[in-house]
Amino acid sequence: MDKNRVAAIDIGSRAIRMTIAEVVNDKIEILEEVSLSVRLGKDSFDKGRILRPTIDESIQILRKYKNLCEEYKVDRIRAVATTAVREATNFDIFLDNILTNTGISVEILSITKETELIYKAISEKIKNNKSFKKENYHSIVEIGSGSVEISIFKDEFIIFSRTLPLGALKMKQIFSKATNIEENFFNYLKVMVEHELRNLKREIPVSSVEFFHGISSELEHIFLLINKKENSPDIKYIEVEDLRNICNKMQGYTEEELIHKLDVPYDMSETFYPISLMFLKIADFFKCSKIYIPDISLRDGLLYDMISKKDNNFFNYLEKQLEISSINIGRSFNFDENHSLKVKELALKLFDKTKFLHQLGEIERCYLLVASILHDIGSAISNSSHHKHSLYIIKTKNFFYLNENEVKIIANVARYHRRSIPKNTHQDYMELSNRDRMIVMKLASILRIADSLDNTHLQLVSDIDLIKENDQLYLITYVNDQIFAELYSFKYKRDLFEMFFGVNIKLRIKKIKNGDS
Amino acid sequence: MSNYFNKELSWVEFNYRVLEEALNPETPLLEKVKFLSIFSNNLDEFFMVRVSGLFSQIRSGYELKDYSGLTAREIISKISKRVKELIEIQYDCFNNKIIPELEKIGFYFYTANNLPSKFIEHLRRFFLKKIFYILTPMAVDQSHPFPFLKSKTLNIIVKLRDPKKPEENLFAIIPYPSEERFIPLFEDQEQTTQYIYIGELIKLFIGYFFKGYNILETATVRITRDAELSIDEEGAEDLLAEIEDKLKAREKGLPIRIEIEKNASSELKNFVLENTKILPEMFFEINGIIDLSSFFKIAFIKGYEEYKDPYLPPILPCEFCNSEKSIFEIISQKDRMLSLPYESFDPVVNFIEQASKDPKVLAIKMTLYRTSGDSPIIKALKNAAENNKQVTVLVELKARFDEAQNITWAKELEKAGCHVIYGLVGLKTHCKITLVVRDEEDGLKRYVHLSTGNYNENTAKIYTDIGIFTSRVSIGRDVASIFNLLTGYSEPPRWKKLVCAPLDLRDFLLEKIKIEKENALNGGKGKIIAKMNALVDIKIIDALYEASNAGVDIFLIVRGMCCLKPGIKGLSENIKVISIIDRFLEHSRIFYFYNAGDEDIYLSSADWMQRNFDRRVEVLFPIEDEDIKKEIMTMLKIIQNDNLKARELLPDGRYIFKKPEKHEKPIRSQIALYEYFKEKNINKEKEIRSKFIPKMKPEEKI
Repeated sequence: MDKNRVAAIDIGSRAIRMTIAEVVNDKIEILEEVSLSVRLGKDSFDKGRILRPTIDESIQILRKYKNLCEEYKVDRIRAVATTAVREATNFDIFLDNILTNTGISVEILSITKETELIYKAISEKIKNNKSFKKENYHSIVEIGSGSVEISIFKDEFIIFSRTLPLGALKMKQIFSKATNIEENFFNYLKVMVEHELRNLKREIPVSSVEFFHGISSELEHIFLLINKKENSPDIKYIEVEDLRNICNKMQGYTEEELIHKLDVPYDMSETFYPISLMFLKIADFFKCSKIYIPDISLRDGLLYDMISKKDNNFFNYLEKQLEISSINIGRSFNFDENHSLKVKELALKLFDKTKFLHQLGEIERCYLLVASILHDIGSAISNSSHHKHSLYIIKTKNFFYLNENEVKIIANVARYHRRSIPKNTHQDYMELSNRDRMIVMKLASILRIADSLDNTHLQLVSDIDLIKENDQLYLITYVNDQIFAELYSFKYKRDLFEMFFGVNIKLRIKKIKNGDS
Repeated sequence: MSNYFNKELSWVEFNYRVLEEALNPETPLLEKVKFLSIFSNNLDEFFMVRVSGLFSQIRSGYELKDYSGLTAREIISKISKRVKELIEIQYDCFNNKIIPELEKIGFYFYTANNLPSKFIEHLRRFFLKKIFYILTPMAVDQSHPFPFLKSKTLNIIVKLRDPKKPEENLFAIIPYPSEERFIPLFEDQEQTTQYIYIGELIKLFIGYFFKGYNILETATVRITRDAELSIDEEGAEDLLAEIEDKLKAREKGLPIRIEIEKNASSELKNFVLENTKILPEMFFEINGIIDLSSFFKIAFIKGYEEYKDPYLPPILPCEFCNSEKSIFEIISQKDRMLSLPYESFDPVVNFIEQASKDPKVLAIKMTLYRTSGDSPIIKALKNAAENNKQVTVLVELKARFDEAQNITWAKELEKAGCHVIYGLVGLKTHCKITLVVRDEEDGLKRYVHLSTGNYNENTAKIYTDIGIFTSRVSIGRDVASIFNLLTGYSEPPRWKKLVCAPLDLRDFLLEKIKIEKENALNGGKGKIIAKMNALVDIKIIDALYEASNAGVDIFLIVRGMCCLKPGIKGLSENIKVISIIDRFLEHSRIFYFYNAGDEDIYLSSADWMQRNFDRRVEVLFPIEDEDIKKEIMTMLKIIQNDNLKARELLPDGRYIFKKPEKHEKPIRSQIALYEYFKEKNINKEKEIRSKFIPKMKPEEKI
């Protein structure tokens, strides 16, 4: 029997929590759930860094947790930290102090990873429930004291994810300096939320969200208020109309009244109304009538992640994920989708065929994928110099699983899909490391050729192949029709490729007869 | 008129019921002695803790009336009046019935006045050899102030005169040890049943201390002091050290009560009164020998079985007899109940002992509130720690009057490698829970023992308590969470099955009472049966009144204090309260709710008192096993039908013995319960014997 015990630790804004679970034949059995509060968020959001007493307190807590793990003879501990630590300027000191004092190595989760883990937990939970369909759009909205995170999933993929700067505590702090805060705070809040959501409308995929999963302890309390008892422990939800009624009722309440009239826990009294209101506004925005409350935590996601067999197809998944996000970005700019996908197809094929030359790996292939889909995106600003517009548009975008530097590489690759080749007077290019610049060169050289092969935006080239005869490379293009423009464009745009790799590349055209494949 | 009885006066009535057992001609002689001694011992604690509490209210200028409409001053004077009446009754019984009856069977307790002269020479030698040198008489005059007398010690006050100054009376005090109160009159101490009280022996030879003086008078005096520990827990760096310090300070608490021999002269009485500055109401004149609690030893003397209650050997339920099965197997088959003292405590000890040796056991966690001297449980826990198990023990240092003893265990356990916690700041840990974590083939498993009573083999023979063994996952999770709470590993979780004080135990009970009320109001049946030691919490009492008015049938079995007034029209006409005082101390807390036919039974470590709800860690747990539920229902029925030892509380606060009606069988519930468990076990054994189970080849050990 395959049996082991694991512990998942989550260092959050209000508390450090741990779940110890036993995994028997891939089934997770929760043994312990512990939680001790420590105001990491307060330090981090107020002071920008985690203060010494809070660090010490966190060390104490983690020591206790470590003891408990030893008691259960836990085989593996995974500890992660979220917003509060992520946003603290002294996060590195915090992590090192914890490692040296407790032996626990804490990993800082990116927002993407956090969302993905939560989605993982939710989808495990709803896996066997027929009323949910994976192929529908699911939105997960998590409102904490620090931020609001909205993400949309379909199948396994993140379609969209945004962090709005609307955390309840942050808002409170912003407005605490204003006069008449009590009166005006909620008006401001309403306006702010509506404003942010209006912006969102432009980015969000046209598709409609079917299932709205809300995460926050405030929501759980509202659920109890409405339902009194947990009657359906399997799938919990609240009707948006019920939420609206409660929000209307709360409008004039002071914090004391919230505590006494609605049994709001003391530590929630500050954030209860703003968070409820935000959920209401977001539900209206998605036109959802129910908010599902998944009984899951980040730690559940961590546990699933820890036990899931690390699949070798991570890059497959990543590629699909990046393709979806890129297409969504493209669509929001009204891009020529057929052209972009054709260029992507050709570029990747060329990448694979020229591996012996460039020696790049899976991750660089992903960069090329994104750059080829989005290379023309700058045309939305203006057709002239659109490659330069592409550069800065891509730089502002958030791609799941890619860090800032990687996005810069992609932006540069897109930028060099036409006109000038990289020069040491180009600032964005020079910002990259030597190694990264070479990646840009190689990928851009491939992209230029791929783009040239769909110069007419008519997808005349249906396939390509590459053969080597003596020292000569031949790019074989299978076409249905004449390709004058492509041929002409290729002659110019092969420049970088030939220059960089020191080879000659020529085009051979093969016509596909009807019925031929 | 208040809707509530005063709790202190209700307590005094409880102690009267204890005294009644001594007055009952049916009670065997040595049991009578036991009840007299318990009565005295109870009073000591009452003055040290409760009456002293009233005094500190007065000192702090608290003039408000309590729920019963009395001020602290009024309560004190009522206590004084009633206690004086009871002591009168106690000594009348002791002097005129018990002593002559004891003499009939050969027990003699001599005083200085009635000692036969043949013993004098032997005693003189004994006195000079063993006693004279250890005593220090202290003069009291202008240059020697009245000395500090320790709480609950016995002292002789002497009035004497210097023949050279006949116009002036002098006073002296001799404190003396009273651990060995009874001095045997013969060398062969094992055999003899003739004694002289040590104080009387000293009086007999008191002249040795005051050569050249005339002894005019001697009298015994005893002082009782405030014993509440006021510990600054927030500020205490080390609770252990703090309590050790305070224990020393406790002996120096303010004087609360004086007991003095009644036949002392008024000059002597005034001398004591003036020098102790005690309230005259707290000055008790005793018609006889002071402090009968020392007779506890006599009540438990070896032999003399015909003068004691017939011994009821605890029954070992046959499911625990199978020596081939580990206790964990037995528990994992089914929840198991032990009903003490009818059934044996051994399986509990066995549970810890097996856990300490079992290689699969990872951890043992346990709360210890009061435990016995050379407890096998402590030994097993130490062994477990030595066997590299994680042992966590919560030793409640604040268990009243057991503080000193508990400090000793705590230190021993720590030395053996156990992780010892000394309770929580500001809260007493009163719940009785044990958790054993076992790493089994198909996953980790938790075994739990939950009880209404302490882990103490000695009280397990006298207190009625119920304990449950279970391996249910949800309860195991909750118990693990409680320990995380107690050890500071976590904040309160969402409970699955257990209800805990000081979190929401009161709210939970109020909700359960409300459900009964609503069911009754909606035309259904509402019924509550609750058994506990004390019912004092006003919010709960009010809820019960409301339920009664809604037509809920409420039956309460409250051994001690009860502030609820039953049977009053428009307030509590559907509430009945009985109290059972018998050979065993009623201690279990059982709560039954009809719940629209889906009956619920809960057991708990908590009484329905404010302190249990708000200042203690308590646990209430549901009975989920249907067989055990039925068994407890049967127990409740037997207890409700008691008509020999049950007293019913009347609306005016008096307790009246229930008597069997003509058509009724007399039922003494404690004996009936013993018979019930005995018969049940015999039937179960028969059942097992009637099955022919071939013995299998023992499984190969891996």
